[in-house]
Amino acid sequence: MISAGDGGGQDFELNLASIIDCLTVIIAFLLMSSSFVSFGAMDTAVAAPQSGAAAAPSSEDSKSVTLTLRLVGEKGDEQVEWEVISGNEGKPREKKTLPRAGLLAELQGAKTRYPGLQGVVLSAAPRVQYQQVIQTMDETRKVFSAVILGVSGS
Amino acid sequence: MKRKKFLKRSKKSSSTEMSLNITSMADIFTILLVFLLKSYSVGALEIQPSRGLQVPVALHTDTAESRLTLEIAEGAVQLDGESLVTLKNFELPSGQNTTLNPLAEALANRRAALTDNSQGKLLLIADSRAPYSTLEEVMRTAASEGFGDLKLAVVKAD
Repeated sequence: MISAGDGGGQDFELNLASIIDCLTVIIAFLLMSSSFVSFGAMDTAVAAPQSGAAAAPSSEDSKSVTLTLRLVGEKGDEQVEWEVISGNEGKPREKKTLPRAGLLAELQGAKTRYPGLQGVVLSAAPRVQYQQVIQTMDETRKVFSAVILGVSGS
Repeated sequence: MKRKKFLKRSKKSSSTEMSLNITSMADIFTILLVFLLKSYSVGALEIQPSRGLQVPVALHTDTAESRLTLEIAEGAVQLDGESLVTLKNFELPSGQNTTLNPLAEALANRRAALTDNSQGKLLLIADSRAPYSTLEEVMRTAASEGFGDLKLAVVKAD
């Protein structure tokens, strides 16, 4: 109880019951109206033939290097087809298939091996689920901020 | 005799007044209120996915902004809430090259309405179970209509 004993000697008591009533109503309202799911967004672009020149790292720049990742395999046994292509070279500098679990370490290695590596083009096999693509993209963005989505023919 | 004793006892017990300590209750409520206000998410992104749509989860997200929304749900592809293409279990009807024509037309109309020549921007809300083949087709259509700049809607993981 709150009392103002030091005042003029007139003791009074704050009516907490009404305050509690207010708090109960506010809490009930907040519990009902608040959404505990928070949405965010991931920036990307489509590496389609039409927009590829603008979205993908410029192929005219001879120093530019592009890393292409293609997600394949079933959920739980995903693999990544890895290809590094130099701007002025036709054939890939690196081409391999690795388990998705080891992708992060490979990406970090690629960043030191290829200082000109500007971005990553990520695509997937037709049956691969979107969640797997997002997970791979999320992991790739830890190392490379620019990840664009590839569509076949790009 | 027994009755008298009982009455005496009940008189005694009623005289001891029981009072609820409201102060501690008010403290608890205040803490609850502060917690709720803090966690009250005025989400970075205000979107309303269709019922049953499972938005994928991601750890790292970028700044969000409201855009034209393109949604890929289990049964349809929707542009700003308007259902344009019918899907069956996330799949486009096979063998029909013209399936995505309504989407292309709607995007072309939106593109024409843009005053500047900048690239069209889309917010893609796709179900986490959707196969990449469907996404690929939709994204190709969007890019061919000048909507190559995408933001992918995700649920922020804690």
